[in-house]
Amino acid sequence: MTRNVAVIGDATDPTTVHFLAECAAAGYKPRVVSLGDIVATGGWHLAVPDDGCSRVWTADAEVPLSDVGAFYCRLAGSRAQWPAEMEIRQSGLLLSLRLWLTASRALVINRPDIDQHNGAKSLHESELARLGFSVPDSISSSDISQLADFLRGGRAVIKACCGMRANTRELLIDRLREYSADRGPLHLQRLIPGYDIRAHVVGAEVFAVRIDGGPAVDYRTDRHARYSAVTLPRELQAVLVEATRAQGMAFSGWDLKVDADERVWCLESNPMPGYSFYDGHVGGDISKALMRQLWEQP
Amino acid sequence: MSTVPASLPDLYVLAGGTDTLARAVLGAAEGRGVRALLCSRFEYARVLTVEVGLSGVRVMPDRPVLVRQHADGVPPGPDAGFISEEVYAHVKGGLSLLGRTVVNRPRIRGVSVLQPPAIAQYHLRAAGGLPDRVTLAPELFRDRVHGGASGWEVQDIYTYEASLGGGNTSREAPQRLRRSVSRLFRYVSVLVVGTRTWVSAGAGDPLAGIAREAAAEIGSIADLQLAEVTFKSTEGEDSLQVARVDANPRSFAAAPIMSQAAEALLDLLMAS
Repeated sequence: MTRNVAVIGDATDPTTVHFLAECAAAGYKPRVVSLGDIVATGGWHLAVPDDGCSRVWTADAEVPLSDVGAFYCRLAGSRAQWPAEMEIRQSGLLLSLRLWLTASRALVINRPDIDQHNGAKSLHESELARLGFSVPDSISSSDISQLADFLRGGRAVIKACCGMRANTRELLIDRLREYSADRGPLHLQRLIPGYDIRAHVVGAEVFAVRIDGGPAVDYRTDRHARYSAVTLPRELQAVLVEATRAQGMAFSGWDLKVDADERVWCLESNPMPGYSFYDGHVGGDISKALMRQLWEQP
Repeated sequence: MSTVPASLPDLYVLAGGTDTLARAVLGAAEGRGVRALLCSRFEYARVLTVEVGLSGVRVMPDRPVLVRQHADGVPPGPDAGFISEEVYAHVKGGLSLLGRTVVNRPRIRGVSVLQPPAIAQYHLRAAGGLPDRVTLAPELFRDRVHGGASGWEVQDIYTYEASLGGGNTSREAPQRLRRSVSRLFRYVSVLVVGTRTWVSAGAGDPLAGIAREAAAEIGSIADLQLAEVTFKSTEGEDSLQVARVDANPRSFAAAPIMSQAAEALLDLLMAS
């Protein structure tokens, strides 16, 4: 018997759009839970524990959820600019789905109750170290003298403490003069020169892309960056698969840095990876592996 | 050996100024000569430093912390939303990694006082290990209340404003429906501090003893050092339904329990 599969995402999310296109090309027909359409024109009824009638709907269609056996979900806000009333509906829908999916017995990639530390950088880096990775030294603080001491110890990049997506850039000590603690804490991490690896783990499979860039700190801002599919050493693949599983995830995206001594540093693991760009460099294999997990994994 | 300057307080209390339990803890601390400082999350973020590296983790100030749900104290301004998220993340990271007692400590996976209270019950359900004779009351999440909701407490999940049957909610907004806990129904509430418990409502219920044991067990399962667990009790039945797990209890206004709870909290916090 074929399992019912649903994809939860938003039409403004490139990864959701990409995965649905790959599903269509492969002949799969998941139910589509379009978050923006539900917020704008529909509604939801979600019971915990499930009462067999849990569902969402838009102006055009109703999507039953109780009989779904597997979900691929990207629970993130729409990139559309909503009025305040719609923002409230959106946050209500996202919270309700998180709670409902947490209590669901279906396969959920990824479950909302996975280890939640990516949104607090110091905690995230501590957990990555605990999982056995080499993690660059970091400091989170509002104390300008401690931040300056850290910068005197070597080059460093600045990141958002909350994990908000932003281009990574180097912070020079002179710029600290402009900093005020009223603007919130800073998170600095030691800069590791070298090439980047972006690896996606789906179940026990690993798909990696090597990125060789120019002088830019963040390859995403480097127009001359070169991307090539690579096979990681078997031991590293095993570590990534095990660390993904240990965090309660079936799917993850890993940002790694390899220095001049070929030492592998872990910068981040993403629990809801935006993978569509990298999928193009591995022949769509990430999407295919996700489909196998959703439709065929017992 | 501690490297904390002597001028630092012995205890941080992250709470709003009108929080009666936080005030009671501050009073108990003063009575014992413990220097406790009441501050907002924003103020605490300004003194907090977290270092993570190959040599381990270091969190300063190395002091126990009581965390209560409160407005975070970020000054208004065009970047207030972003600063608020940064402060939240920084404090969550620091309190998760702090080597001293934190009540309630934010967890990687589980209940946190920094999360909406709604989360508590769901992690409890996910844990799957409920005490005997205890079940979880069902809940509904809807985009709005369609028609009446008799017998349900309807909560606006954005503002937490709640009303019986949904009649008094001020606007149409996403709703959470829980079985009513009001004078119309039998219920037992139990305050949990560490391993200690007090029945804060419904002490005369024949199942109050079971409720007390179950609340302690639920606190342990949910990894909550401070919680109030409310059970719905039904005449003629010898089982209880968990109706609420509140990681940020405020409603137990009875003075004797307040002072005992504050002393017990201080015991917990200063034990590390």
